[in-house]
Amino acid sequence: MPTLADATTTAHKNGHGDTAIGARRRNRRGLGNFEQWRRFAIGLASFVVAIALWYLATDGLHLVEPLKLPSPVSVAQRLQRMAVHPYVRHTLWGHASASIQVVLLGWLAGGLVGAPAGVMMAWSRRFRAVTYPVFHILRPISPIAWIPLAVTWMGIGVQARVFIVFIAAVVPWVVNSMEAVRSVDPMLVRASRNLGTSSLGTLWRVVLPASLPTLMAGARVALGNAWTSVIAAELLAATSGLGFVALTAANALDSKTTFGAMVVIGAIGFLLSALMRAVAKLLAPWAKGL
Amino acid sequence: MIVSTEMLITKAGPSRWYQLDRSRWYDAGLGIGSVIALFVLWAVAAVITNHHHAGLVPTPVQVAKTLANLTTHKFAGHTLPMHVLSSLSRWGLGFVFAIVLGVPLGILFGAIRLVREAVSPIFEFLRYIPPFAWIPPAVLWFGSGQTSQALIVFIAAFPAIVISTQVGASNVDPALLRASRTLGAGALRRLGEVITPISLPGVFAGVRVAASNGWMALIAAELIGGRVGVGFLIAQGEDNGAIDIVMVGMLAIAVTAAILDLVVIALSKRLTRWRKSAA
Repeated sequence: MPTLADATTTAHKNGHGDTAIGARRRNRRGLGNFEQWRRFAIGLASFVVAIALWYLATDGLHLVEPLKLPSPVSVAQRLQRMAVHPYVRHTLWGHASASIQVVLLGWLAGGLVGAPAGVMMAWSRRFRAVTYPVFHILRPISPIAWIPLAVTWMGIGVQARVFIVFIAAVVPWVVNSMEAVRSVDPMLVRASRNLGTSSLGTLWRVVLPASLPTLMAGARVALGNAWTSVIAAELLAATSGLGFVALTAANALDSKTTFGAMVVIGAIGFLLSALMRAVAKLLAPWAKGL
Repeated sequence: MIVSTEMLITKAGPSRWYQLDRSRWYDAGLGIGSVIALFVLWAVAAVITNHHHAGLVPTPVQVAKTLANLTTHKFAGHTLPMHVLSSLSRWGLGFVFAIVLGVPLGILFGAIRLVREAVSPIFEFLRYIPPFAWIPPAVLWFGSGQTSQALIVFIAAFPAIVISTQVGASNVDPALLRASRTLGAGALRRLGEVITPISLPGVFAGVRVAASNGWMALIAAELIGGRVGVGFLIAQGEDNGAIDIVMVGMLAIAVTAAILDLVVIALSKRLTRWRKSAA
């Protein structure tokens, strides 16, 4: 089963390299800055237009009934209210932090298991021979399909959700870590071995630094998958969290809260991704096109 | 040049399959052994937990029996194959819509820079909202029936198709377009004979991701509401405390996903036969 992980690894390898070099050349000529500002301006303008259209369709001309699509103003007001007054036991911040906690726990657990497993799968042929078939059998079972099982085994508490997020995150962790190590130039490895470094020493001092950019890309994909799956898990097995808020509100025909929750879900997804990019730049500044 | 370890192994090894060195057979044996170990562990876990909570972890044999049973007997209104087919029909509906709308939009993005720069920031923001998050508004719009489930498939599949088409279309060398134009090819012919073949491999990469994303999102939608489908079957199994049925459903979901993936790969190979090597 292809996951976003596969697509991103290939994009990372094939697509981004060229564009990064192109952008760098443009920067040297001094055009990069103008280009960036132009893009930013166009993007901002289109956002303003989109929100204006949304406003016109709802409060402006009343084309859509508020139950189907509430106006941006009413959604903003609802969010403001939820920031202070609790909605189903928690405020907006409480629900958001519940979601984020589950995501981070599951993502970290996925990394603690998946990254070493992926590295070892690429590094040791024996390890790969033992683990890869099992990984391949379990992998096509989508994290979503695990939800009913997780609920039966662990109830609708935090555990079940962390488990689901773990399942969603561990696959890109493994796949990209494996890919990262395998894409290291074998010449470097042989050189290091010839110069007398042990197998583990080579892994630690040559292979890992060289594969760090791809590893970081994998971490980002894993976090994206984790965020996606936590929302699904919260729709089915939660008493808090943004997905839970969105569905509870929809069932109560409270469209303002549903759309408010979705805006926050999108914003947090965006922030998590931006954060991972910043961390990747910090840890592996030599990586291109992250 | 980057040479993968795999390539080094094949280059060094003998060329015919029956001459494979012994360590390869050894590796295969290890793999089979670990898969058997997985099933043995599962069976042991089932036997141990059955002492305290009967049915919490069914044995592999029980699951196989339930699978055989469900292919002929109805559960949650239909037999297992009918549930799968029903899910597939909604998946197909959303998926076809995603291709019909996504490919032209992707070509538009790839061809006209201003459109790309104006629309893609909004598109990118919407992409940060997971497809599952659209289930609540879909419920608001259409109730929790077939329409909203097909909509979820569409929303999950659409972005991957648009983006891969855009990337594929921007791979087209403008010189080729100018050349074909000079040689007298009209806009339609350029689209059909230059742009389409060049961007097709890229498009298929997206179609593969879209197919699997759409299937996953559909299962989530079916778990939440509906009357038929594999996701619904699992949800009913869970409500009845029948873990064997849940596991059979999980198996059906995974196998269907694998088959869908194989179909897309086969289709992509067939349609891009002229390529010397598959990506």
